[in-house]
Amino acid sequence: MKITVKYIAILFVLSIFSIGIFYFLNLNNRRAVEARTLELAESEGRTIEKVLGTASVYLLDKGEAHLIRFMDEIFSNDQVVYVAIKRSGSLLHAASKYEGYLPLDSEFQAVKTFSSPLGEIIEVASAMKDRSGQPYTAHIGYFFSAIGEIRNAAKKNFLLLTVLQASIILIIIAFLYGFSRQMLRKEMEIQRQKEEKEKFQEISLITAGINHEIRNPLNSLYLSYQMLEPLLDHANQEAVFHSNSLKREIKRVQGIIERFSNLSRVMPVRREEVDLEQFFVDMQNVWAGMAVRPEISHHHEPNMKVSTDRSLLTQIITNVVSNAAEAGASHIDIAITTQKGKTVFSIKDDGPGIRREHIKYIFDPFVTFKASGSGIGLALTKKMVLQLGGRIEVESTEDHGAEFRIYL
Amino acid sequence: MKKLSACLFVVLGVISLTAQSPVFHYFDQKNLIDIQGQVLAIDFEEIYGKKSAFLMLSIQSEDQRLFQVEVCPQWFFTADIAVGMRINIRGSLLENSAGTTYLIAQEISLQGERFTLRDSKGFPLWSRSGGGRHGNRKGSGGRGKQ
Repeated sequence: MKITVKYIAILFVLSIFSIGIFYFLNLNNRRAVEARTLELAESEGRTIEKVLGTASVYLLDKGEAHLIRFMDEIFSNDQVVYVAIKRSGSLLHAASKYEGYLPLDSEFQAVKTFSSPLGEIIEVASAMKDRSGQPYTAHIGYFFSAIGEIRNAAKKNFLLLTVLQASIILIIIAFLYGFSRQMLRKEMEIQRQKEEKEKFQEISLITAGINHEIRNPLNSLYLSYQMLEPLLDHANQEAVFHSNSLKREIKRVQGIIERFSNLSRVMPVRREEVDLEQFFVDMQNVWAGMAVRPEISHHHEPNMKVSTDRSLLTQIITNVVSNAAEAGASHIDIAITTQKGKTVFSIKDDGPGIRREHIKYIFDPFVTFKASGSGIGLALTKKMVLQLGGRIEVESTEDHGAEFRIYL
Repeated sequence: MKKLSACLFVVLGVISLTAQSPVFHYFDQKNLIDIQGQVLAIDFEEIYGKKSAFLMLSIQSEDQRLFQVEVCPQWFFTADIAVGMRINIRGSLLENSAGTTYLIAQEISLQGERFTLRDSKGFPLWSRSGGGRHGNRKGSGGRGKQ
């Protein structure tokens, strides 16, 4: 678990770091494009300023009126926003395409750019003197819409690239995360199976010992009983009672040993097409012999068949039903469905349910939470389900029954 | 007394509106002032050639100075305005040859509503692409408040 948390933290930091790097690279690129565009615009502005300066000096020599007419000619161009002529710092002549809009600064600047609601404007200004030495400045403000377009394109590309790169990084990170989670889950499953195998190996050793140490003396005991039984005075009620009691206890111990042996024994699987309709008809006979018999209902699609071992399936269903009945269920409902190619047996009861802290031990051998139980039934059930290549799970809330689901 | 005041306002309004607007008048961003006063007269003038007629106001400030205020094209400003209303104006101050104090309005506050007419450099907001009508209303009260 610690590895997962650490791994997620590393992936998170890595993704943020990568997105950050790409963000700054894109931002840098955008700024470089904008700066270069502005540089080009100003370079063009300086060229215009030289032409304006030369022409203005020539025209001013001819008289102010010539310069004003020249500026008005320039003003008629669509791209020009305003023109102005200042004499000794005061406005001599001006024209603007937008009512009263003449954004002249008090400080002279040959080329400047600024924004307006309709786009970038470049102002070119040229300073000169007339013959009498009186200073003049001529100003032309014109739209350089390309700046705005390039800036917008750079901004759009910046956003697009950043979002695209961030998405790609997040997809890669998500893929890595999912892949590692899957690997981790597989590793945990292998570990769990290994532990289970070791546990069963230990149980096998114990049951083999029990078999060896108890089964043979028990068989001798039963043989002695069988020899003794005909010699009994059957008129003596007490002797008959004790004889029957002895026989029943020997059988019970034999039964326990048999079930212990089943836990360690490798069960052969003989698959066949099991018709569920017929299967449940046969099950009625099995359930008829149960000491406590709750109401049992079952439902499935008509003509449904399952490819499995009939004998193992009978034992599995019987074990789960018996477990519910012993726990105190009065109604058990068995539903068989198909999910993702698997046959699912859902066995739901209205018993007292299983306490949350008990659920994880419910399939462990020799663990029982009932007053009378050996703790073998559900462990054996799980072993048989695994033997069939399936899995079993349980869901329960205390006092609200339990649901066992068997996927085959 | 009330009748006399009304007559005086009308006379003053007519005097101020007949005064000529400056020859090279433009929005000078370095020459902004705020005035508070009362509307003496309302008129419409074609001050930018054949373009839409402009709303012109004659205002008497609290210090009794008279201003001729150039607001915006009449289609851009449709708030209720009437002679005698109190008004706050921020605008660029110009003086013409006739000595009339001329103001190009940037922002007007009227009955709790603020109308932005030009940006900080004096660009007329009615000339923006998709600029809409009625100015940029701000503040509390009135129609279309923001």
